[in-house]
Amino acid sequence: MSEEEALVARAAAGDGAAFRQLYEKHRAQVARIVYRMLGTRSELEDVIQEVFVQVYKSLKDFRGQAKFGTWLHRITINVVLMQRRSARSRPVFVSAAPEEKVVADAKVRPDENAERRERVRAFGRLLDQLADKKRIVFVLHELEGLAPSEIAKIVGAPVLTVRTRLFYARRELEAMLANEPSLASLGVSFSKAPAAGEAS
Amino acid sequence: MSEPLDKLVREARSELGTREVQGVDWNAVDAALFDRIAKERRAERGSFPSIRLRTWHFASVALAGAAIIAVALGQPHRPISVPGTHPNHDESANARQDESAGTIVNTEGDGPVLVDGASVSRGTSLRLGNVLEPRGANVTVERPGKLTMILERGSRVRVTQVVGTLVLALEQGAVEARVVPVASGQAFALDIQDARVAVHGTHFRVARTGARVAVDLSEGVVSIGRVLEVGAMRAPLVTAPAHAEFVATDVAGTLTVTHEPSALRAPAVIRSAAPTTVVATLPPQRPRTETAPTRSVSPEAGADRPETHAGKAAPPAAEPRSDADVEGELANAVRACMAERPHAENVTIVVSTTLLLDLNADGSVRAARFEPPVALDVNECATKSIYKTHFGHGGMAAIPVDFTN
Repeated sequence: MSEEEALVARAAAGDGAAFRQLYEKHRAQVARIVYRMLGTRSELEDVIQEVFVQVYKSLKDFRGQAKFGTWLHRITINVVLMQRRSARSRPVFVSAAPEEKVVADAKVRPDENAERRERVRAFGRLLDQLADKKRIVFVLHELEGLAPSEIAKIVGAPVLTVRTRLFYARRELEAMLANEPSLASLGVSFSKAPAAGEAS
Repeated sequence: MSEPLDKLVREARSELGTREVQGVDWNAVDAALFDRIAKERRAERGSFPSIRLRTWHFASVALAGAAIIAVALGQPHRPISVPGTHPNHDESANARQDESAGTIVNTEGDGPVLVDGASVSRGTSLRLGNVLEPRGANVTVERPGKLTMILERGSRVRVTQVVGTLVLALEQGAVEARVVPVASGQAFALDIQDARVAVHGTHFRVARTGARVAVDLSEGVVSIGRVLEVGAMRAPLVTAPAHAEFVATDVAGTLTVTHEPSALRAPAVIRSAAPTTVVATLPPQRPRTETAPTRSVSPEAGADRPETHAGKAAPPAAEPRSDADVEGELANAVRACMAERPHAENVTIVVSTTLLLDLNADGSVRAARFEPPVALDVNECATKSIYKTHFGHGGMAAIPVDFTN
């Protein structure tokens, strides 16, 4: 039995210290996935909390058929999806997330880091436009580095379906790249960026 | 992926969400999380009485007639005090608690058989809380339509639950049982200190020597694991034929399972009261591979076991199981997987599916699928049983599986 399996078994048996260790070990990863899925900072803490409450409630039923990490991903994805569904049913306030707005100001020349951050945020907005199923597989595979076979276990779909969703997610993102104003405006420096030492 | 997208992905991989996660106020999350967990714990503890009351309320409807008859016949009536409940609830709950755990139908040997320290004979019914000690004889106990078991001489068991799953605490010795399969849940369970061996329908023997426990499973499926606070189990399934061993105080850390038929103790002939229901099931001779997430042991490792089985009983004569038996076992194994799925207490889950099997010419399973499909974890769980099953024919097989929790 691995160290983590022992920890999981102890937590499942009601050992609060073991549960806390599991939480502290995995919370940053969960937080990153939640953010990448939600695309917003405003509810990040609430969703992290909900994920680990669900982990606590379900741990006694975790039978070790999958790796704990896979099982945790699955819970995370489910909580995020629930959150997104409930968010859709709530009124949208235009001023709810001012930090999401990217104002491309041609007069201000951002430095390279700021430019990169801008691109990443713009990319986050593109991700947010993908349908849930495609975004999940894209984030888990391309950003989190999970294999399609593991993603298949997490989302409960055949590996082939995961690969198909991945294909369409990439294709849609490619199409969106051209239509994203901030990325289009960044396009020149974006394409030049790989050349090290090149003056911008 | 195009170069621009590839670059974006690489940047996002290292940066998307990184700053946001660094900005998380973990102190606030920790405080809120563990506060909620504390509330969940309190809610769990607080919910038990109400769940029990709901069960008893239901039982009061189903068993009202039985309770009345019991009183009319002068059966002992011990009121159970449940604050805030109607007297009828007490009566029906009492009636269920008075349910017989089984009746002694046979004894083999000359020594005394004790129940709560008093000598008893055939026909004695066992009740909740009774301690049965067959001092000098093997005792056969039957719960009609549910199970027949042999308590070996020198054993001691305590009846700890009679409603729903029959649960016995094996304090010493050995119990061998033939259990009629149930559609869902557990028909019978044996507790050995912190450990539980629960069955959904099977023929098995459990023996303990101190904290060391040996399980011989000649038919069906059992769960072996730790009894949690609420009586639930977090346990791997073990499918027959199997010989399992563990230490009762640390099941997860010590459980070993082998499916070598030679390691399996030959099952006893268990005779029920009705002479026509004699059962003697024999393990298939085909070696099996590991199923439960446990460490495998070789049959040669018998020196460390509570009992060494090699040579203890002659290898049983091969008696091919019928396809109906095989299908029944497979359906039970699938139901067991469904029963293990987490679900809310007050939700009834009904599943109706068909397991479609593509069989090789030698009867082994080439491919399997559920129509309509079932949950992924049920699929994974059932796979263990499906691909170890052997039919007496090739071609196709369709096994309907209905499940209600």
